[in-house]
Amino acid sequence: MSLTDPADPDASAGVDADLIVAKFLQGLHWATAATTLGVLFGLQVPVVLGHRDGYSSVAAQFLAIGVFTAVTLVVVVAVRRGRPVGWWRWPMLALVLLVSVLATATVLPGHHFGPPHWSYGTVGWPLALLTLERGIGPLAGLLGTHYAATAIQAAVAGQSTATLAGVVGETVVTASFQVAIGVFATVQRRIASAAVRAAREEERVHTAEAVAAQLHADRRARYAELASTTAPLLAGLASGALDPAHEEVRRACAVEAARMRRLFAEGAEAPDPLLHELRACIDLAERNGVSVQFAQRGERPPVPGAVRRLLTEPAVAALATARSTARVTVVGTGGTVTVSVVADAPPEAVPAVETTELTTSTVVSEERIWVKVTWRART
Amino acid sequence: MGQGDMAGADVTTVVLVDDHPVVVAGVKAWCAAASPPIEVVDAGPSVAVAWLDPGDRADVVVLDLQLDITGPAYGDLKRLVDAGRQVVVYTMRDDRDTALTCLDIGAFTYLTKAEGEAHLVAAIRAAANNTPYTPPALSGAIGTDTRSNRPRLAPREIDVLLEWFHCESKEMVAKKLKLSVRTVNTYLDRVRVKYASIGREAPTKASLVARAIQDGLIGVDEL
Repeated sequence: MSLTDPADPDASAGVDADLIVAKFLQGLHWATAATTLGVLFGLQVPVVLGHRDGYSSVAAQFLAIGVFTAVTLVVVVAVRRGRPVGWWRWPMLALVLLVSVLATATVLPGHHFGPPHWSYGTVGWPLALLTLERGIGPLAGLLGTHYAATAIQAAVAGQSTATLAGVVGETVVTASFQVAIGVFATVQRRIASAAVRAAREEERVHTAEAVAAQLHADRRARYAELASTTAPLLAGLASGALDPAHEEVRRACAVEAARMRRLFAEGAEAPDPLLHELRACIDLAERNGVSVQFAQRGERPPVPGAVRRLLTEPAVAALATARSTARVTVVGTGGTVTVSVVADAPPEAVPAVETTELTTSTVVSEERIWVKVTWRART
Repeated sequence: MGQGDMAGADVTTVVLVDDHPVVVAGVKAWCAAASPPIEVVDAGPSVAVAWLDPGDRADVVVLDLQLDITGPAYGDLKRLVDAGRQVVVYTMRDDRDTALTCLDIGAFTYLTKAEGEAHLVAAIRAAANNTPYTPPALSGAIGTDTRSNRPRLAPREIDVLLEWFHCESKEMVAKKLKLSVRTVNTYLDRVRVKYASIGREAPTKASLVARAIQDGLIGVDEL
């Protein structure tokens, strides 16, 4: 059993992070949008209607109210759909500032910063709404731009009756609400990213635990196989029931060593596990002074782990007990996989594997034994 | 008829193209120990030894495919084959596609270096006599050939090819498939001739097929 690579954790965490931040800011979005619409229609529409003689163009004032309303509704729809406004915020911010300049320009000279100049304090609301996900920095910049532009416009128009104290007072009163929202959004974003980090860490720990548990289970399953063959051998050697000087005991030890070697190779994530496991056993045989020839031909379907163990069993035994030479070949053809071994090994040391999925053929000639195991992939 | 025929009265001559001194020394030793001996007239790291005196008169060219970093020397093989030379490819490369490509170009046979001791001398003799010779590495390549232009082989022929590849012993193949060693050889030779009759035209392939038909190994209608 093996674990497949999970999807790239960083990529999915990025999406999660956006979702978590959006969730945190959702309430703030609703509140700001409601305030904006309330200010526009509850306070400023009556102001415009009541001061129609204060403007060179009343239509321009209604255009500004319309644009502010439209922008607010766009944000409401975007939040409702769970999709952030994203890149579109920047053209919308430009549009808001543009109609704000237009609204100020159509206020008659002498009325700037007075009651008819409703847009001065109100434009901060759509600005705050649009920059909610970006924190206080952009909002402060935009408000500053707006105040500077209005001051220049008022100065150019002249005839202002407003006092500096009056202007500062009005600015502080309206801006304080809007800036508070920006600060609040920034704080919430910080909390959200801390939550994202915590969630990610938790996820990572869970994944690591699952991987470790799986590896442990795999290992236990594999070593359980050894319990029936290796353990009695070791017990026999320990109790003195088996004599290490005896040829047969030595042969059994060699075969068990090769099996263990194959198990160690099974753990590795090799691109071709069958060859990887065979190579591990060939290595061991070569270290014992056996000259091994290995060759493979054809295309093989992937072989499941349990079948692989049966397919290589005769090869493992023959390689472990060969006296001087062995030839191991692997052939894949027509959906079958064949592992064959020819070695000068004692025939009784090489087991024949026979199951419904595997066929084994054995040929013994003089000094050599040839065992061939074929597995047919189910189609 | 078949593999391992003895050469005629003339001494078989060989030119050896290989850049490794140990390989050259080993092949010379095997040829000297062969009975009757095979004469290595020249040897060198470059294919030039096969074109210059005395190498140009050798009966058989033993060619290592990887003489430089530019990849297998298929171009050299093609030029030798087109000049009518009998080429035994003798290489470290042990893969199906290289073997089949060499066969298609017109190499007489394909041997991996691991098989050298058991098969090189016999392959050189077969090449000099123009009788088919299929060592196990080549046999495995043919047995697993899935290219669309491959010749049609009988299931029994594929069995023989793959068993020969697996066990490297004609006696064991015969025992396993309940055939005589002679019949095993006949299967291998017929397959080899079928391969000589497909793909690129080459004088060496034509003469192998002609010889097989003369010897009654295969009928014209079977190709």
